[in-house]
Amino acid sequence: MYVPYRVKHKFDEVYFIQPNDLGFGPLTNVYKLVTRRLKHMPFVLIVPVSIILSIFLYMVFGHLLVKLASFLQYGF
Amino acid sequence: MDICWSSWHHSCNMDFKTVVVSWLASFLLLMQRFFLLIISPYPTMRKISMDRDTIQAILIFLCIWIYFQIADIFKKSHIHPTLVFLIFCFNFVCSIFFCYGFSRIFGQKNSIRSYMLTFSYSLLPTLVWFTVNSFLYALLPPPRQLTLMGKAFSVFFVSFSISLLVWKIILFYLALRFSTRLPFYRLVFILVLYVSIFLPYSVLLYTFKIFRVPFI
Repeated sequence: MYVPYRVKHKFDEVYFIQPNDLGFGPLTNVYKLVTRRLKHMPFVLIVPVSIILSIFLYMVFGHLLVKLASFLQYGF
Repeated sequence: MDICWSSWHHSCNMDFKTVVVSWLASFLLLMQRFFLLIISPYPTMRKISMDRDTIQAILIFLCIWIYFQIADIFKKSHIHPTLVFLIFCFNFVCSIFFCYGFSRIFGQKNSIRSYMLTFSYSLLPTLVWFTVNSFLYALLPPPRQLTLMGKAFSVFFVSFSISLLVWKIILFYLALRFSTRLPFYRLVFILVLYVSIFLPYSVLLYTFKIFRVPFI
């Protein structure tokens, strides 16, 4: 059966590594659900989540977040 | 005699042009992959792990060396920036051999060039964070005040740091996954072991004021 070179090359690239199996069906499904969003355009999810998380951290820790920002700015 | 000299001269010109063109091609590929790692990190890191062009890794290290030189202008350190860069290189090589060693223990026989390329690309979020931080240090020097602007900037800066940290974790996990080709639980085992060794080492580097935030 003739397989075009580009298709074969793509298959070799995609299947050169075994898919992850966590050994427990529902856990594997959860893993695939989470990683599906992170494989392509992850920042669409990451940026809003990080903004919400930092606002939440400010509401919980208050002024400690400002001290953390100062610590990180001195960090380089 | 004239013919020998002209053919040698011609071959030197061709070699020089080949070298320049290959470095330029690697630089363009590096730029392209930087943006692709933002848009689609999984297929991009997969392609990187199958690549054999070490010039891209050299270019990334060159960018990091330039960063350390520039950062020293913003904040004078008691340690020479080139020495800091060499310490970073030592950490990087140890990290590669740590992961390579464990993958060999688990029965995988992979090229170390793949580790070098994927782990080099996983340094890009770190480089971006440190570069932006250096410029913000000059633009808006710390400490942050408890005013409205100070709090707003702190929330923005922490969310920016969290975004880059998550991107870094994704790239590091993908670098490990595609270089070692190990399944999930073994990867987690290597990661946990790596963090448990690297964390006290980072505290040591912090104590000696080499890296306040680890450059990994």
